Amino acid sequence: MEYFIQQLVNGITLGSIYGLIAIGYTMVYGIIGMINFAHGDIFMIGAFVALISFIIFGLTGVALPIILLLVLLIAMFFTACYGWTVEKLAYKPLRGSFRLAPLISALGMSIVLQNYVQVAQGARVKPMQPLISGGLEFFKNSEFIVTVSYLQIFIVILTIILMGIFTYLITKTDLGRAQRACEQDRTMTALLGINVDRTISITFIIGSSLASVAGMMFVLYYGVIDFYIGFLAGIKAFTAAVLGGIGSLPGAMLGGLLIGLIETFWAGYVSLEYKDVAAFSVLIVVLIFFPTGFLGKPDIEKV
Amino acid sequence: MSNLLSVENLTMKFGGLTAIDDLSFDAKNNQITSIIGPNGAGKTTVFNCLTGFYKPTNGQMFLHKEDSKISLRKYTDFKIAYVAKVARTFQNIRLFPAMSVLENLLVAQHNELMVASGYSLFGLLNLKTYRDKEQLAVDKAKYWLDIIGLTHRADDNAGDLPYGDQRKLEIVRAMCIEPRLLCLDEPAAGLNPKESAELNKLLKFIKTEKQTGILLIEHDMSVVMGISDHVVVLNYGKKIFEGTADQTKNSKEVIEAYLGVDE
Repeated sequence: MEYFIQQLVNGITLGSIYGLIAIGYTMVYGIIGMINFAHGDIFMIGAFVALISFIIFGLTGVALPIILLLVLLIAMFFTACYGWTVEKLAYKPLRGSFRLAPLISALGMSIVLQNYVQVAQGARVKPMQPLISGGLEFFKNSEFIVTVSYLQIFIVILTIILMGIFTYLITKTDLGRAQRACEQDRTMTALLGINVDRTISITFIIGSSLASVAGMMFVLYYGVIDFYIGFLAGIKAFTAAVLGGIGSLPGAMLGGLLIGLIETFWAGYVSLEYKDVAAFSVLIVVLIFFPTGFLGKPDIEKV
Repeated sequence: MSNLLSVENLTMKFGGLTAIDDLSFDAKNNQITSIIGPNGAGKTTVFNCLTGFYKPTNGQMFLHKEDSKISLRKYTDFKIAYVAKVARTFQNIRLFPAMSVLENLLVAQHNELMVASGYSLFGLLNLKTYRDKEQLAVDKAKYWLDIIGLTHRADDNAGDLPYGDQRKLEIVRAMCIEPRLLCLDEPAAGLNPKESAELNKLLKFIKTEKQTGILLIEHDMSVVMGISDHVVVLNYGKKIFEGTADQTKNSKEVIEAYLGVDE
């Protein structure tokens, strides 16, 4: 029982990270109907920006909460710039082209970003000493002590706050309204005077900044990063988005959480080696029974 | 009555096919100008040229403001509605079906709200300046809903409305961008006689109360003859007649174009 609770806590933490990345996939799919395969690498760039700024601020000896806030803002800003540039360079010129074209350029962009970071930062793994240590211990009298680290609490709370802000943005503000309009009919949205290109750019900016937060959490949680982390994390988050129903925002959060839980429970109870296989197998099984994911809307063709 | 739109020698060719051939006509402020003609006459192509979907092969289109005039050729995409203030609807219904009726009308007021909300930053912080502006937008939307009698359905999904109501909602959504010229592509298609009569009333209201010029493509002659101030008849891309509704009804050329020549 104690072991189970421990795995649950670990799974929710990991799921938060996946969920934040998955939102980027699902938003971009919703608005322009393409899978942004470079999004995982945007997450990796976010992790690198966070690592570099952690090291710089670590030298100044500022108080920890201020460092966290500054790093968060810096990572969000720089990663958003990357996301915006990727969209302008690789996807915008292909808008109105056939559907597969931006998909291929996304794959290319993903390789470009990976190699760029490899050249700029080196291929070795980059370690960082833990910034937030310690935690709360439960069930002290039993043989297995459940530890909820302060870092895990930080990650989950930050995720909840961000998702709250984000949901408000999409459902209540007029930017969100314009995004939902673009999602349903881009031509008509433009004819109502809305700058569709700018709305799409903003979508990329929002998606990238959320991914950068996930990147910062990853650095803090795992302590090591390299230029290749974006690939696996990206594929997992994409799986999460598909599992929850691609195009659906609550679906992305739910899917992220599920993938995180499946992975941790598999690693905890079955075998550590095959945890990635487990996540993808579940995806296959779910898609057989729910072809549009858990919360996705079925595509109804109107006659 | 001053001129609102002048189309001068408009020509649109697709390869070897001439869809519009040297078409010139004027539309005036506070008037309903109808474009009629048999199928394939090039009516919708005129709209597509006006709203930047097609780049005309030749000719000019001017929209007159107080004492200056702007060329519509220069505007495409969102600038047609945002800068030139030309709104249009399509033959098929293009509402946002998964958004509420009220939201559909708020989307059309996006640009004003976006500035007021500081690109959503103030909106996120829920500042008072933004809330006031949003209230104004909601009031405007409610004003239009009241006119088309849909206030009680404001929170329903637009896709759930009956067909006739969706048509009317589409027209008032276009009105929410405060257009100078409203282009309607077959608004009465698929409406029953009662709904067509309501549509006539709405269009007359827009013409007289809102000082908006209306350009109308329509096959339903009860609508065309009932409300048009001016009729332009096209056949094979050429203008074959221009005049008032009564003149059009009695024109030999028009009857021949629709019914064929007696041999």
